[in-house]
Amino acid sequence: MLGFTIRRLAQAVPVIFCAISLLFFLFYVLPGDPVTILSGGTGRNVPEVTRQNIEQKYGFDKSIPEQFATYWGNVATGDLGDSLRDDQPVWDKVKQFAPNSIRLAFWALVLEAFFGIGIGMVSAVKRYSVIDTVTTLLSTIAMAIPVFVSGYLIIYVFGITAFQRGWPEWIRFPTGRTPENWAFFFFPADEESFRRLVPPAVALALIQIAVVARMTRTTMLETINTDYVRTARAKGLTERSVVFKHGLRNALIPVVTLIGLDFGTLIGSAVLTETVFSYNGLGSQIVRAAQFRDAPVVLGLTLVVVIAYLVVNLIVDLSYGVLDPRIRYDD
Amino acid sequence: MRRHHRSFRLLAPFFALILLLAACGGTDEEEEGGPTPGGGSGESDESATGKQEGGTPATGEGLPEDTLIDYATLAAANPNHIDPATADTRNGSQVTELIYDGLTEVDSDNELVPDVAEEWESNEDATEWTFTLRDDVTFSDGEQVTPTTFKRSWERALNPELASSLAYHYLPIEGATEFSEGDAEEITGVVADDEANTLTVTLADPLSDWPAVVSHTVFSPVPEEAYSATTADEINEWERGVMIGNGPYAMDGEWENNVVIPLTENTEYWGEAPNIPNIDFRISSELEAAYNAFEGGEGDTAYIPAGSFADATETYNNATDRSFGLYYFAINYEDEFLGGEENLAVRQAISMAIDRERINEQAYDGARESATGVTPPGIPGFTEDLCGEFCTYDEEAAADLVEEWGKADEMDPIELQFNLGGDHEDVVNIVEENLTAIGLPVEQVPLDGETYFDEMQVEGGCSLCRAGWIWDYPSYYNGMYALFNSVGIDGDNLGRFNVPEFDEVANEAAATSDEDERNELWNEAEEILFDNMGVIVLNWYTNQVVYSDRVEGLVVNGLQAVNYPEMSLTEG
Repeated sequence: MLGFTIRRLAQAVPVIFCAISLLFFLFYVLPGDPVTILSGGTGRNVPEVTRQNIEQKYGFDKSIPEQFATYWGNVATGDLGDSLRDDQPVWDKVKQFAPNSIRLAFWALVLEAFFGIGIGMVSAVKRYSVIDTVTTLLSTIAMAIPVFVSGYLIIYVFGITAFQRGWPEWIRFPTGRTPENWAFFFFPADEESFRRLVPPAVALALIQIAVVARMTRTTMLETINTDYVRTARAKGLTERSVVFKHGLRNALIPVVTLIGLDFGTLIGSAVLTETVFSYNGLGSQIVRAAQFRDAPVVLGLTLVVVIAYLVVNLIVDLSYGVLDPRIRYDD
Repeated sequence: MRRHHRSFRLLAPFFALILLLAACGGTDEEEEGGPTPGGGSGESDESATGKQEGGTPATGEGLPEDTLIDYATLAAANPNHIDPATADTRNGSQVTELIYDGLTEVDSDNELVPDVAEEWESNEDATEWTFTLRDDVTFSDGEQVTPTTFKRSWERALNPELASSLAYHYLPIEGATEFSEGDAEEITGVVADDEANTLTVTLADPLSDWPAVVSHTVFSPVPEEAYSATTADEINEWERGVMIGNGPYAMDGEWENNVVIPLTENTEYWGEAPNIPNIDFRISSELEAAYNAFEGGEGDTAYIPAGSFADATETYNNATDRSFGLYYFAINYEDEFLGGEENLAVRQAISMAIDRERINEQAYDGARESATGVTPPGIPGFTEDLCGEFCTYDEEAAADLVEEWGKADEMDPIELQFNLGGDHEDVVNIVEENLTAIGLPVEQVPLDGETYFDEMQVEGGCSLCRAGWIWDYPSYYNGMYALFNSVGIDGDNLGRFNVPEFDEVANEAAATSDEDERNELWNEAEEILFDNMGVIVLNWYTNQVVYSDRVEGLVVNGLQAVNYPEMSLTEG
C-alpha cells in the first residue's frame, strides 16, 4: 500500500510538469501580447519607453527558454510569481480562492451523492413504476440543460423574482456574492452565507445528480439480478436487508469512483457555475486571468487544480480497498 | 478489478482549459471599460429620468441607513489597482478619485473646476503653467499637501521601475521622457515653490488643455508614507492596506479582494463633507451578477449589462445621458479608391448610406446616440451638426454620389475590418448591407481583437476599419489631435488622415490659451475634417447606471464619474 502510494506520487510529478509546461507554451502560441495589455490595452499608442520598462520589469525581454527556466526555478522553490494584472502574489490568490472552490465542490458533491444515489436506488427498486419513469425523464432533462441556463434560471426565479414579487423569506436566495462566513471550514456559519451557497451548489450539482442517478440505477439493477442477491432473498432476508446490504454496497463501487473523481473535476471545472454566480473560486479566476493574458495566475491556479485532482484520484484508488476487500495493493 | 492507467483522465481538465482559453481570447478595450482610463458622457439634458412602473416594489428597501451599497463601479471586475499611479481602469480610478483630490477636477456638469489648485495661469503660448495651491489641504493623517508633495508624487508615478501604463500622461512635461528612461534625477519641467505655494509646469510643446489633463487621477498627490512604495510590489502592499488620502472619502478598512472596498467619510476633509457617510463598493466579476443583485434588492446602484438597456431604463431610476466616447470607422486616406481629394464623393456616400438609427436599435438596444460629429456634446466647445447632411441617412443621395464617382466597378471589394470579441458583428452586418445597397462592393474582414489596432496602425493596414475612442479629459484636443493630425499617423490616426490645413488649425488651437478663441479653432478643424470626410462617425456612447429609490441626486458625467460625494440617501 505504501509502495503503491509512493509510486503514484512519483508518477504525478511528470504529469504536473507536462501540464504546466503545456500551458506555459500555450501562452506563446496564442496570438496577443501581454505587454500590450500591460501598457494600457490595445488601441493605444504606447510610448516605446513605457514598453521597454514593462518588458524589463516582467522579464519579457528574455528568450522563451530563459523565461521557461526562470519560471520552473521559481515554482520549484515555492514561488508562483506575481499577477501581471494587479501585481498580487499568486499564492495570495490561491489562499483566497482555493478554499471557496473546495467548499463549493464539497457541497455539490454532498448533493450529488445524497440525491444521486437516493434517486437511482429508488428507481432501480421500483423499476418501470411511475416514479422510475418520472425520475428517468427528469434526469435526462437535467443532463441536457447546461449550467449557464439552469444557473440563470435559478437566479431569475429565486434571486430576483422572489424579491421583486415579495415571496416568503425562506424561498429567497440572494446571489451575486460569495458566502463569507464559515465554521469548521466547510459549514456556512450564518443564514446569509447558507443562502448564498445553496444556488451555486445546486446548479453545479444538478447535472451530476442526474449522471449519478442513472449510473446507480444501472449498477443497482445489475446487482439485483445477480445470483447472490437471489440467494439472499431465498434465505428469507428482509427486502430492506437485501437492497441495502447486498445490493447497494456492491453496486456502489463504480458509483464511488465516479463521485470521487468528480470532486477533482468539480474544483477545476466549476468555471461556468462560478462565473454565472459571481462566486470567487479558482475557476472564475482562471477565466478572468486568461482574458488578461495573466500567465502567472493561470499557471499557478491551474497547478493547484492539477494537484487537487491528482490527490483526489489517489484517494479514490485507495478507497477501493475499503469498499471491496478483494482489491489489494501489492508492493 | 484492475487498476487502469488514468493518464488520459488526468489530462481532461487541460483540454477543457485549452478550449476555454481559446474561447476567451480577445477583450475589447472599450467594451471592457478595460485599461483605458477615460470614460465618457455628455451634458445632461435628458438624463436621470426616474421611472417607477406599477408592480415593481421600491428598490433600496432594507439596506443600511447610512451606507450606499454600490454595485455599479466595480460590477465587472476586481479593479487591478486603486493607487493613483497605477489605477489605469475606469473602475479603479473611480475609487481613487474619492480618496484623492488632485489639482483640478471635472465636476458632474463636465466643467473643469479648481480642486487643490485654487487658480492657474499660463504664459502666452501655453507652454508654462503655474498652479497656485490652497493652503488648507491636508491628508487625513494631518500631513500638509504642498507643491513639493505634488512633485514627488508625480516622480513616483513616472518612476521607470514602476513602469506604469499611465506614464504617458506625463510625457508632455519637459524632462519627463528623460526621467522615465532613468536618465534624470528629477522631472526638470516641474518646479515646486513651497514658499509661494505654487507649482510651475513647463511643457515641451504648447498644450492649452493642460489644466484638464492634470484632472486625471494619475496626477493626484500621495502622502510621504507612500513615496517609499515605488515598485509594483510595494504599491500593491500599500493600496491593499488602508491608504491615506486627501479626498472626501477615506478607506474604512482594507480592500478585500473580489469582495468589497469600503469607504467612509474623511473627517479631516478640507472641503465640504459628503452627504452619504459610507460607501461599500461591492466587487463582482460579472456585470450580469451585479445587476442581478441590484434587481434582487441588494444594492443601490448597478451598471446595465448588454441587452438589458430598454428593460432597465423602463423599470428603474437611471442615469443614461451621453458619455465621451465615439464609435467610428476610420477610412484610409491613402487608399487608391477611398482616399484623397479625388475620392471625396465615395467617402461622403459611405457616411450617408449608413443607417445609424437602425444600428442603434438593433445592435445596442437603443442605448447609443447617433453621432453628428466627432466631438460629443458636453465637451467644451461642442457645436452641433458639424458633419451635417453627410451623417444623415439618405440611401438615394448616397447612391447618386457613388454613380457620380463612377469607380465602383473597377475596385476590389472594400475591406470592412473589425476586431472580434467586441460584439461588433451586428454593426458590421448592417453597414455591409447599407453599402451594398448603394452599389459598393464590400467584404467583411474579422480580425483578432488583441493585435487588431497594431495591424490597423501600419501603412496600408486600415481600409474601412472599426474603432472607438474614449476621452481621457473633457477636452476637444483629446479627441481631435491624436486621431486626425498627421503626427498621429502610425499611431491613433488609423485612417492616416493627412490634410495640412487641418494640421495647421489644430496646432494653432493647441497653442491658444483663450478658451473661446480656442474652441472656434477646434470647430474649424473639425469642419475641415468633415469637408474632407476624413472619418465615418457612427455613434456616441451613453452612461448606463441604474439606482434605487432612496438615492437622490445621482449624476454620471461624461467621463463616467459618478458624483458620490454629492448624492444623498433618503429614508424609506
